[in-house]
Amino acid sequence: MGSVRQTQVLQTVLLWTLPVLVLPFYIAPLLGVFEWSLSRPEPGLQNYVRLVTDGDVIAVLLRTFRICLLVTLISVLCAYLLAYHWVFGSPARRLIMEICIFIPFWISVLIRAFGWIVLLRTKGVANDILLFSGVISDPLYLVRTEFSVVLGMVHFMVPFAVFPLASVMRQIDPKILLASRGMGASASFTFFNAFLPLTLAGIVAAIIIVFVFSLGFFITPAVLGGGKIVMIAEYIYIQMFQTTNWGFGAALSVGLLAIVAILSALLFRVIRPERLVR
Amino acid sequence: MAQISTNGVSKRYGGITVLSEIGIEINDGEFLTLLGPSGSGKTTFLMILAGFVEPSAGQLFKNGSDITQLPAEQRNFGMVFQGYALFPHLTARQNIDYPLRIRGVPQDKRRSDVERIIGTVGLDGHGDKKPSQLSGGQQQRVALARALVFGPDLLLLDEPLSALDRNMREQLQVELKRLHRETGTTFVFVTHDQSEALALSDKIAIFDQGKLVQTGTPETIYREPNTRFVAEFLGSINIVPLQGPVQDGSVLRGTFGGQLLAAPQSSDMNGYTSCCLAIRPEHMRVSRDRPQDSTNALKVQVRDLTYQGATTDLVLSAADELILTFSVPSTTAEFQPRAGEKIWLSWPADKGKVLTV
Ligand SMILES: Nc1ncnc2c1ncn2[C@@H]1O[C@H](COP(=O)(O)OP(=O)(O)OP(=O)(O)O)[C@@H](O)[C@H]1O
Ligand SMILES: [Mg+2]
Repeated sequence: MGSVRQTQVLQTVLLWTLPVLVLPFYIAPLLGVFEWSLSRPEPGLQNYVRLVTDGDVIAVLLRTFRICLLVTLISVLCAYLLAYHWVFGSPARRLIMEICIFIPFWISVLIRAFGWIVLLRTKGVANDILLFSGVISDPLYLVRTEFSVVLGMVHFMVPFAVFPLASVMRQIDPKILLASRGMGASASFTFFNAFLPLTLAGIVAAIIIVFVFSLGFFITPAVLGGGKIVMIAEYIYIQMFQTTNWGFGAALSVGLLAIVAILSALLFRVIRPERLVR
Repeated sequence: MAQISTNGVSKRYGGITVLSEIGIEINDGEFLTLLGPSGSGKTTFLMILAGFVEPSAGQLFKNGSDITQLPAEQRNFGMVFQGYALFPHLTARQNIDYPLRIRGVPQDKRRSDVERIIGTVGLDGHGDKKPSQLSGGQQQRVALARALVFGPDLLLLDEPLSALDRNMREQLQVELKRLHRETGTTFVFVTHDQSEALALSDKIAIFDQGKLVQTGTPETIYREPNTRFVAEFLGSINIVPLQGPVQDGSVLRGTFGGQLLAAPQSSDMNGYTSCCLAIRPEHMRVSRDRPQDSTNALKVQVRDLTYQGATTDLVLSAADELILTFSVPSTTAEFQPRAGEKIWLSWPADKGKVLTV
């Protein structure tokens, strides 16, 4: 039977595509980076020692964590509201939500970052409006601040948080919420005792996605931070390509990877999302 | 005093009327069944009673006061949804506890109330299971317990047994009746299963295409259906068209296939050129020869016989291609018809029911 044989061949090809691609294009370079971190400029652990003792590095790491936590918090909150209206809203509202969620996907992250500069710079639209309406008398310095970096990152991350949240909200039987009301529950009782627990798995997923994604953010903080708000990815870039400190850059990369891995594992351990899904 | 009543309740979606002018009285402690085919508006009416759907017109009264605008959460009604609607993240016990927590009942009383109702609905030993670990029948019991534990003024049940297999359904029917008796709560029960309605209810309300066509005790509706729809919906019935109906005192006479037929009729039949005669199969009997004692008899041919165990179902064809159904005890020593045979079907005149619509 030729077709059975063909199916088997196809299955084998499909099954092995990912490992075969991952090995040379991901694992091998990763091992290379790891090797650099231990061998450049000379063999030894000095790059890793610097990682935990250098005040500059620690400051960058702390700033990165602070920004990422803030971005995660704001993004997941916004995404929760958006997802709610996307899933439970009237047809017209759902359409508006879809447009708001999908359009940013079609615009490059670079263009979006520059778009924010146009809006936020000293002679930008935001300042014009605030000055014109008399809310402020002197222009605000919004670009190259943590504020602008957080804003740009949130803008990028919200749609990614919407999807896991919308997916758990779609699984909620609307009759459950009616049942809660019918038993006499106020809206807030229903939210905290039924809706929130039923969406917890999606919240955890959204938090992990946004936080891990944010840790490696490069373009948005580079453009909107303008060299003042340096996050870890940009710092690695500087080590690699400006100070050609290959070994230290590599050690930072390995450290970032380890932090992401540990954090994800911890979050999964603590919250056990697989147990929340029914 | 009627505990709940509605007056001219209607519901329109867009231009489509799905409920029109429903007026019904639900007495304290009553078991009322809303019976009707799919899409007749039963769920919509139940949702209006619960307060989840706002009527387009009409009012709802509870002990005489207008509650049309009262939100669902303030009505103190229990509801068992089609498909249970249990909280999947809570155990059976926590599900049942939920309405008590809403009401801020003290911890001790909550615990004892929950345990008591768990015993009442027969869920002992299953309290710590999540809904996904319970069988359909057990989930249904949790839903019932959750809707009853806080002592609602009215319990609304939307086809609570339709998803269960037959044995479980029959068992739960018995338990529903017992719960109704023990709690003394007013039940409003939705079903499209006529035997369920007959078995459970104090009162049945028949819905057809958004209209309430008849309300009454199961016996009244079975014996005295108002319309052909009600007659055919509840139980099996044979309907014979009558030509040239003539009223003679309290008796109506007409013909079918050349046979003169009669039935009791008290109200005036003037203006009707045709009507129908409805007879329940249990009042009919078959014989090889025309019975002497009966005025109502039709000559029929046996089309088909289906052996059903205790009884045998007969499909009979009369004049004008009219099909009648009938069942005889399988083991009776007397007359056993055979397929193709021409026999007589007769019934006492007072068992016929004249239907004009
Ligand atoms: N939200 C809605 N919008 C538009 N039409 C609706 C809506 N809800 C119900 N209907 C219509 O109202 C009619 C009655 O529906 P309902 O659910 O009350 O029927 P039902 O008697 O409960 O039927 P079933 O036995 O199938 O559950 C149906 O024709 C349905 O399509
Ligand atoms: Mg229904």
